[in-house]
Amino acid sequence: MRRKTLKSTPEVQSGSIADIAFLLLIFFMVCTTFQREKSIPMTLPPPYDGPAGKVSESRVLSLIINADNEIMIEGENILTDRELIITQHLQSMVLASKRPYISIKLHEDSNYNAYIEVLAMVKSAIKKLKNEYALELFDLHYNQLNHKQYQQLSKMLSITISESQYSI
Amino acid sequence: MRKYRKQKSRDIKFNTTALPDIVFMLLFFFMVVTVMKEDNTAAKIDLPYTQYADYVKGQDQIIQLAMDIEDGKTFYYIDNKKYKNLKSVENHLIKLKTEHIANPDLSIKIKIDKNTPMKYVNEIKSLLQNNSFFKVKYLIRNMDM
Repeated sequence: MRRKTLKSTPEVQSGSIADIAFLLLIFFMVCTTFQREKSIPMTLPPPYDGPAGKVSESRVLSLIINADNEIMIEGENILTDRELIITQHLQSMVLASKRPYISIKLHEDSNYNAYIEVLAMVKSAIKKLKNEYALELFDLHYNQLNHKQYQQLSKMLSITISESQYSI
Repeated sequence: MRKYRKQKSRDIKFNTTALPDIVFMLLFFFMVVTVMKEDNTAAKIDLPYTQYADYVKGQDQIIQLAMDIEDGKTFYYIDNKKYKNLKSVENHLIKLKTEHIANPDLSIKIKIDKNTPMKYVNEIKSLLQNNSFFKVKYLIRNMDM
């Protein structure tokens, strides 16, 4: 009689442990994100071989990268707060109702890192400026704008980026 | 009748305690054996870094174009396929053109070593422009990982 009760006690329901294992497996499968990549998106202009168009000097923001990878903003070698300076330049042009034209001139021996640095800076400055205007005009964050507001803003802040290579 | 029933219920009972062990074993086996998608260009290319870049949104790219310079020689990779000159890169791009026209929003992921002189980068850029691949994404080293 005593033997019988002893035999029945150690029986534990273990069939659901497999379910728990599967549940964990599926949870981690769904939650896992693979290494995210950072990038700068860019739309290249169509190829153009015609004569160079003329842009009024007053709406050009000139950025030059020389062979030693130094970044010149409007002819000055600036080492700190570059993004802020670019934003200020753009802002003053927009306030004077000019369409900013950012000209990036790269020496053929300057390296890719400097180019990416400048490009990212310009993109970030433009984004900040757009955000500022979006907040001022619509009281909304730039990426919360609807299509109409977005177009109105893009019309107001049309910024051109041009890239060219030099080799002297 | 009664006897038959009793026999059946005794047959059905089998031990499942080892099942989770088997599942875990399979899980560990695949965890150990799995190799992430191979990228034979990744090891050599030292991507540029900047604090202003954003994360890539979605996986909306068709091809990965990589470039590397070794002992003054340039090597190009399209989706891990190695090429030695731009002409063969162009031929590969031309083949991809029909796929690209169907999905013009897809962009090309570009991986270039940070020390590459711009003249080589500009060569690639004009190659893409001439073949109507306008949307690009310059990959940046991710320091947050």
